[in-house]
Amino acid sequence: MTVRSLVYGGLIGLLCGAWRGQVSADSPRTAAVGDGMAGESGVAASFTSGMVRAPFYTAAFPEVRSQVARPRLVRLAGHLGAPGSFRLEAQIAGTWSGVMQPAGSYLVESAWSNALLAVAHVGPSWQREAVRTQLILRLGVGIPTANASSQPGYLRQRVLAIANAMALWRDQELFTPGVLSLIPEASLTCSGSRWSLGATLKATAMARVSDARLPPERTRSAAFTPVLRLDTQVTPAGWPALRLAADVAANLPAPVRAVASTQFDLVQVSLSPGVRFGLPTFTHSTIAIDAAIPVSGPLWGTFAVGVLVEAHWFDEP
Amino acid sequence: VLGNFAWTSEAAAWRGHGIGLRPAHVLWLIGFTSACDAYFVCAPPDAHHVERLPERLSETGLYAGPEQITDTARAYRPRFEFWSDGASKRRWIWLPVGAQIDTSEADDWRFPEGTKFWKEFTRDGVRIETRLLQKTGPSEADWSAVAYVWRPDGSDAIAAPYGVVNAAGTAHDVPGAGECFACHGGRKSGALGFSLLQLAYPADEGNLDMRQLDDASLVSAQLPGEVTLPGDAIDREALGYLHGNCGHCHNQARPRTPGPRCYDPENALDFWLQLDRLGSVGDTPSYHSAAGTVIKPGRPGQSRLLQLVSRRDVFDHMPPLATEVVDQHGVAALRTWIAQLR
Repeated sequence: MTVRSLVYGGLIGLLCGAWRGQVSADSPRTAAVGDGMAGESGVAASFTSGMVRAPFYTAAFPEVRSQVARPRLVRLAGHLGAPGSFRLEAQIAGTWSGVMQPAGSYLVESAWSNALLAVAHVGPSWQREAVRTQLILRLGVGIPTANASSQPGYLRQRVLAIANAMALWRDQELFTPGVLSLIPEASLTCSGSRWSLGATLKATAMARVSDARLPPERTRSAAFTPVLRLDTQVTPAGWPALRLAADVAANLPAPVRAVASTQFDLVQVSLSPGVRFGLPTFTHSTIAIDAAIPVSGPLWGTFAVGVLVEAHWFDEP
Repeated sequence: VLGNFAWTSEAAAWRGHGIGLRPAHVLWLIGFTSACDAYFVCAPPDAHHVERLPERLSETGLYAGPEQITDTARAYRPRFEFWSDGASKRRWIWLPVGAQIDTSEADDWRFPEGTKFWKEFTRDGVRIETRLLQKTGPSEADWSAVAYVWRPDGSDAIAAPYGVVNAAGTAHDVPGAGECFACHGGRKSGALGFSLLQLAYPADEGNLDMRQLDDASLVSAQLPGEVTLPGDAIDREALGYLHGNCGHCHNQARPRTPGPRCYDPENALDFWLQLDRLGSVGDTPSYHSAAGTVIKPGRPGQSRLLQLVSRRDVFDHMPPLATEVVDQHGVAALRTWIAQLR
């Protein structure tokens, strides 16, 4: 058993140890509207399957064009309650994908993502009539575990790039190999009995700590990648909840070659319609099914879509 | 079968031949998470092998100087060429000094370690790539391959281990290194176009053929200088076409290797001609395995083989990779042949 396996095993064990409690599998640092902060601890798993069609702009594979990939992504996330309205969060993802080669054959490769650790602070909430407003602050770090093997990882780089594209570049710190990330985040949620509105701003700063086997001229030492998410959810009949999120990911980290020459092309806008519902016999869990669709930006027209199936378990509030 | 059926449809649709929801797309979506064992999945290229190959074509030993092929690389042209969407090709072989090809198995030669094959592709008047296939070790599986893409100024060509789509402004796709063995992995000899049946004919001046190989003592066992395929000219053209374009996948002597199927059809079809089965058309594996199944003698319109090779745009087609244009001449030859079969 390698040291890396032990590290990953430990992380997964930490996640499983955080069993029970509620967490968003979409990203522990971008809690969905309506998730609130119920529970002392929780664990979540999500599975995303989708299609991605290049070109999407990657460091290692500028030559990959007009190809269709079918990535699958599993995210494991968890949080653990801590004193003083704080909680500890962790996330890691594994991805695998078949990648179409120029002559038409496929290669299948898998890769781990970076590991993310975060501290969340449940800020004060305000109740005015039937509307409750909640502020949550997070500070996370991304540990460069993605493609950290000493073995040649050209294909793993590509698989990570594909998963990154399917995630619509909203979680660059998860899929960018060779970088150490600092991830401050703030989210504000207003919720009523059958609706909620939320805004989350994540301002990831990444510093390159290894070349991750990328060509030197295609990397840069630092990047800043803010992501804004606007999220709304309504529950018209009590079950299920309908959800729509819009994400704007800006200043995509190098190396990104703009489709056109304007800076606007460095902004990726995407929509995520979805539905969430509980299970009758598992009252401490919810299931979410979301799509992820680019509506402008570099991914627009290149086709990237994913369907997320998410399950999470949580303590009684 | 599902993977083949569904995937080829998807590939055709996304390659710009029309996007529309077809039944195959639904099947493809159903099989969404089962791609790993599908026949169109190949193993990644052995990175260590690929990295050992030179980065530039000029370093592979083919050239003695700019545009000057080295004297020790010998040109050849197989009798039954693989269709490459109309690209014109030049080929060379280089054998280590003093080495011989083990031809004790007439239909599956063994090449000495260090053997190199090059194949240069020109399309629409543009020299695009030169592929290198090199025997890097003593065992049958010890082959490495990579394509070198020519610079626009023609000064050199650079290794492209992950290939290029629509290279040099043409419709030609340069394959990734792992893709080479979708075809070349179909026979244990590795080199498909350099074999007894491909060289046992009087070649054009400047190209190697069996007699020259024998005269130069480059083969270990004496083999016939000429081999005539059975039947009339129509039979010979069709059998040769199937041998050169289909036989490397559709044969019953495909080496078993670990990993994904990589275009192993896993069916009983066999279009690989064998020296000891050329007594008559009916004696060939091609006729034996295909007549009554994918070939309906006398009825080309009902023959699935002809349907598959006649299209590139809907559902499944053949060959399944490395071609986007139908070989009209080849299709006509097959149609004529099937029509005259009884």
